[in-house]
Amino acid sequence: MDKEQTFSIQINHHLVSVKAGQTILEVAKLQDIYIPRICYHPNLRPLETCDTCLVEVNGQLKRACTTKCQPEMMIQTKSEPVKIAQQEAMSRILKNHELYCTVCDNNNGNCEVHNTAEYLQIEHQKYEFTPKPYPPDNSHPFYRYEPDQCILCGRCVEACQDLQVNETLTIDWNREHPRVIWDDDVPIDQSSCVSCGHCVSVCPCNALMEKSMLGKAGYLTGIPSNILEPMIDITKEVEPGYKEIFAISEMEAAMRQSRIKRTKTVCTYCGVGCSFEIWSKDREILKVEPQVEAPVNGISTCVKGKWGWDFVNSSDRLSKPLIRKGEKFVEATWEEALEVISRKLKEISQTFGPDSIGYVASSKCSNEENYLFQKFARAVMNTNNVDNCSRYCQTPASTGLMRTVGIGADSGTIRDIARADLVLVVGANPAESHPVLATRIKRAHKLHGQKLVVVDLRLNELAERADLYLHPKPGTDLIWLNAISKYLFDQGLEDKKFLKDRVNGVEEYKQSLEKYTLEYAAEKTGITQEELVKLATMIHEAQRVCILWAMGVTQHLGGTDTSTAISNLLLVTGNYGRPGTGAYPLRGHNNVQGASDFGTMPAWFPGYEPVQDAKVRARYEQAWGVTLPEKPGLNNHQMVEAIFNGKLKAMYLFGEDMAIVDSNSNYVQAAFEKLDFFVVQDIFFTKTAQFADVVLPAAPSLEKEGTFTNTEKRIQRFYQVFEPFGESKPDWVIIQELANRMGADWSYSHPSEIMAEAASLAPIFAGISYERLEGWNSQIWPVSKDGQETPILYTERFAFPDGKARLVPVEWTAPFESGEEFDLHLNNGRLLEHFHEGNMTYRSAGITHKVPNPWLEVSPQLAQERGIKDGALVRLTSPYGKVKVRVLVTDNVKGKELYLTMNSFKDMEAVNRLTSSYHDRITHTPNYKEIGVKMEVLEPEGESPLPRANYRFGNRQPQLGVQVEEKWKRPDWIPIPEMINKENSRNGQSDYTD
Amino acid sequence: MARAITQIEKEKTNPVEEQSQALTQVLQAVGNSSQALIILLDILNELHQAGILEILQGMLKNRQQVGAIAMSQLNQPTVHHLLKNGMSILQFLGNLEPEKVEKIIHVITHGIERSSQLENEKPLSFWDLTKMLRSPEVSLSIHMIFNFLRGMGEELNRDHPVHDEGK
Repeated sequence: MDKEQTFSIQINHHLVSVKAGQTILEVAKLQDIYIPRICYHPNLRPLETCDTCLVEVNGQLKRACTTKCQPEMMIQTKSEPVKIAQQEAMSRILKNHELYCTVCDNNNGNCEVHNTAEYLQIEHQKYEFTPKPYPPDNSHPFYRYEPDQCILCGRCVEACQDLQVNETLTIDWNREHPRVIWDDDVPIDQSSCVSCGHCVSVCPCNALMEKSMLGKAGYLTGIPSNILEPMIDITKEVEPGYKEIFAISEMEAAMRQSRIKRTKTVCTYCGVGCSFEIWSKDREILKVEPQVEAPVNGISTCVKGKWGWDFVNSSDRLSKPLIRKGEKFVEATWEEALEVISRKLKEISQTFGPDSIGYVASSKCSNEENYLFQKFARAVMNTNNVDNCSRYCQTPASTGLMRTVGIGADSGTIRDIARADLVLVVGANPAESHPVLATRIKRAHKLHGQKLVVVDLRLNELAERADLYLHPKPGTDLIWLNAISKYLFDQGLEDKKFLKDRVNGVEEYKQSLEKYTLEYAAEKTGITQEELVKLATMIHEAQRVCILWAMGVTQHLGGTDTSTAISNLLLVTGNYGRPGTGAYPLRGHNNVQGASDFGTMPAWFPGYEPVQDAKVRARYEQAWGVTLPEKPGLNNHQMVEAIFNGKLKAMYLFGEDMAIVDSNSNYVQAAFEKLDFFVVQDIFFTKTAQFADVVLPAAPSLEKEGTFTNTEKRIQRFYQVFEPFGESKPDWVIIQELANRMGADWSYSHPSEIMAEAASLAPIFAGISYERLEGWNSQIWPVSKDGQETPILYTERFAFPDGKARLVPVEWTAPFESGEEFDLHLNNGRLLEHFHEGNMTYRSAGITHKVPNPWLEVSPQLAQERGIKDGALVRLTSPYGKVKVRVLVTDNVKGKELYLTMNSFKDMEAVNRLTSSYHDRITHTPNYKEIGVKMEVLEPEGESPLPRANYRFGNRQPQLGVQVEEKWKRPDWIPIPEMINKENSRNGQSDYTD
Repeated sequence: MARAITQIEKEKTNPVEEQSQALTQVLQAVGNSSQALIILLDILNELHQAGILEILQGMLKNRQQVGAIAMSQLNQPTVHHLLKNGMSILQFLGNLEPEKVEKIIHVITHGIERSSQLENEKPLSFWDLTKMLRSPEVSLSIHMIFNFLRGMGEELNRDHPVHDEGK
């Protein structure tokens, strides 16, 4: 690493030591010297639009945000010329912004425009405020743009162009009255806006505001406009000077603090692990406010995290326990419900043995709740029949990594993905399924020259942006992965030193590759030899490579083997154990990592210690004071089979809509019908709950405390925002109450006590504690007792006894064939706006406005062949079931490949009516991605399943940042130093040199 | 065998029971603050007798219209002047230094005292006048008055501050 050069400069006559490359603003911040900076945001590149950060540098006025420190620099931040220049800058801003702070919903103590105007002691409007000739844009369901309040700082544009990289917003500097525009100047709702919320979060004033804040945040902001407008007029007429206005608005802002509660939470949707504040008033959510301190996302969010919280207050929430009586459910008390459950579970366990009951945990629930649930199954109910939904998605990836490098998790952080030279994405669609993680790739690719390769059936957003996009035949990824490894060996391009020092099994592996020649690979995968060589060369030439994958790899018959092949390729090229390298199986649910980590798996205790290991078992037996079962239990898939063969009689499931999300749902639902007793614990009356005997109302993350673990293995705390809805209770409370009825004697009063117990028992969590996780702090496991975390795995050793990785030979498993009549390949998955089947996100009217239905993507070729258009209604039939859906014709898909989005919990639309019960041979993960269907046309055209208001019909406008140079070219723009100089010489007091 | 069912029988809420629960809560709260409530009731009674409660009731019920009328009345030049002058006076008072004001008040008080002793004095001749002007006390007072006039003049002459330029 380069040795960082340091030197000293003077700020306000004090000597300060700085590092080369630091800007004046950065140094001043470190020194606690305040320099105004309205357009500057720490998560964005400097914009240079506001000029409020002008300071004196060796006697000249320069912008602190972009001026790099030089040795011997003399800087003045408080001199008279600086004050005059900054006041001029502020006055220019206020020409575009009417100050009515006390009646403004953004007056919450954090308004940059307010605070800066106050700091600069602006007394009066120097340039008269004139409204712009544009009405406010209220078309979007979640936010508004008010041009009259917009100061044209361009933060929103930079955030949209270069942080989120959706490239929707620009400022048109060439109009008489510049403004922010969406796409080529269309209403926001009709644009390519993905509703991520970046622009609203970075707006330094009230120009871009969450609609949920308007009229709600202030004491006076709800005043009707026929009273409010004269009030603003009076204030303007009287104009007592802004000092007095600020005094009142500050008082009002202070009063708001007691009624707007700000609570840090961790997002409950995907596995990226964004954290942010929830601003709430009583039971109402005013807004989601991301903070720079958030370790994963900073101020980044996606449509679901920023706006998708209406489900918490949905009137459809379960508020009381329900007990099945005959052909209906009857509301019951907790006492009655728990009594029935404990009596039935005891009966069944005594009659058929402890292994006749299965326990399914939730990747939506906290680490503590998963820990407690597996403890309940093992210690109280004496069985290892406990599993979670990672079985449906990521267990093959974990297993592939455990085989080769030892730990079944991401080997670095999202920061490492951002700093890689090459990112290779296989069978994953991060721009929709892990939106904030994808922003980091798009940003690195756009700004920092990162290379991007996407191998996928669909031309998804990252594929469109990629330097190289490859379309393999479905289910053939293992072949090209192996072929590339072989090519690198053949050319002598493998990382010889890395293999020699750190990897076992090289020779055997090399031999196993023999048949994976370029010719063979090209024939089987449909990727040309040239493309394969190009990819191999790119991987070889990159210093740091990250490979990301998801369900497109794992949900196949050979999912584990393909994951293994990915890891093998990383080993061959030495891409492990360094910053900017590694394997990244992208976790789908917010806590799918944590659920497995904390032991809701049939063969593992918390921290991936095998239940068969007597020593480990002894540790838990001693701590829990019981004898524990030795034999690994049934996984989800085996539980369903065991119901059919009569071995499993009862199930207790929480926070999982297994009847919809498990493959071949007809089969799974038939299994549920056979159960003697079924307990479902959820926040909604789900499809799965319809099969239950007792339904328990649970509380979601906003109504309890706990921790989640994201895809990076990062553990983060979330805090309670609301009291539980109705009579619902946090899952850990329910599990404890049931356990105590079944004879346990637990007395956890707070989730921190559960975490302390887990940390004391599982070595990889040794140093994890709620104190260390306070606020925005986080810990990435393994965490040693002294609190040392491990952001990058394998820097010195791989997680095997000899510290060496293993190259594991793997062979291709041909994908499942449904039979000749099923002539179309059906792919399926999530989409940006709805999470999973949409149980939570459909409760948001705004999200449903953007995406009201699932849809079937059909290629233009196939559409032409079958004579169908957008909106056509078709029936898809597989050997296992049928669905009826409407068509969207798009070149995202090719030829005979279809894509069905999974955002539906209606029986007639749910993709898992079609999928089979075949599965990965090692982990039993269903082969969701290998299904043949036939398509019947019911109506050749109709109303499009996607409304025009969806971003997919937008028209992006890529550019770099806000293009301030265009502003500087305007005839009415004079640089501030120039203007001050002119004025000074006119006044004959030129004490200031240019 | 447990088929999927969707019918849920909600426990019927008993309005009588709910009301009695609410009443018990209210009574408890009343018991805890009986003294304060008795005083409050007395005040309410007085307000009622004075007719103020009815006025408030009327205003609250019609707050939209009343507010709009009040605002349109307030949004007049005279009211703007009133508010502006009021604020100017407050600012003026705020700008004065208390020590100096105190001193001037002392000076004026003493001056008033002396002037009230006028009755016993003879009429003032021109000679007396020059003599008085020479006395240090009178000279000092005249000095002060002239300085006051000078200060006013200086302010009248003063340039406008820099930031008003460039409009």
